[in-house]
Amino acid sequence: MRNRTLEKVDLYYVLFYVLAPAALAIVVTFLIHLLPIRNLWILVGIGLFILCLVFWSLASSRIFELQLHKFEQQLDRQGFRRNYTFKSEAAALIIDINTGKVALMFLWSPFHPIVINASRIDKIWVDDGKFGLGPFATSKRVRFNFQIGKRKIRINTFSSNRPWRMDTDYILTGISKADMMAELLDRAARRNTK
Amino acid sequence: MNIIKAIRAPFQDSWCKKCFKTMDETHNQLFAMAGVTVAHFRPHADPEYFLRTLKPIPSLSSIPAGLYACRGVRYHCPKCGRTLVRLSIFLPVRGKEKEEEDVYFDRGQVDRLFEYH
Repeated sequence: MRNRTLEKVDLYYVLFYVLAPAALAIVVTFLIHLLPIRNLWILVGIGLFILCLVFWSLASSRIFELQLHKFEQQLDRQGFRRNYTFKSEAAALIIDINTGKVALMFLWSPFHPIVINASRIDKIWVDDGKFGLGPFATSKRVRFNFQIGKRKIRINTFSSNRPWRMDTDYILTGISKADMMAELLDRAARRNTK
Repeated sequence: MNIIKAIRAPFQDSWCKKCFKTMDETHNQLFAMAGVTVAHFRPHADPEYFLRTLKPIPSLSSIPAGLYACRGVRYHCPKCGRTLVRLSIFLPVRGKEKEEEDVYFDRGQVDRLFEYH
């Protein structure tokens, strides 16, 4: 666990995640091609390509879940009291209000989680994604944001590929979650500055 | 007259289901649902759960964001003496209310909630 820089995307991890299965598939297909069985390599190549697609679409969230579980155990051993854990599709945020610490892990950097003092957070705000006026106002996503130095962290509490009216249950739940997380972060930040 | 009232009574919270008379609202109190935060609400019908969870609050502004609230109304029938408690559970979000469910108790199971109000 690093307590240095905030790394939302680990470039080496992303490259490995994309290239490693592709390279493995190419090598295996090539080796099959050397065998004296006609056209077997085409079948194997197609099969491995499908496996690669499955891996790319499913493995990142599974790796994230496993790493998060390990990270939580590590935090427990260090006496970090997990008052609240929020998991979105792209990040997880764990707050210890008593000590004013915040633990963060990102989907594309699951091997480099960080723990920061909440007092380092400069600004916390909620973005309800509102678009339009009055009863026609809609939103496709709701998120809470915070800024540490020049880095902005945005964590979605609701996202959709279609717009929803602002008074729908989805949007209200998303706003409520975002408001709650912003309030908890603020409490942790104030606790840490005392 | 009574037939029409009998048909309408199930849809009127404040009507007595026995004598179809309009009941008096004796208590109206807001509660916070301790420990029940957004996305963690589960329906309950056990009165003990509500006695344990509901904490009276003066207004919705006194509870933190993301915490569920409940509006408890107690009715009393002046004719037959029957009482009814309606607990309306909702999530307050910036002045709006995301309604979850209404739970009714007509045997005084949760009357203790209103004892000091």
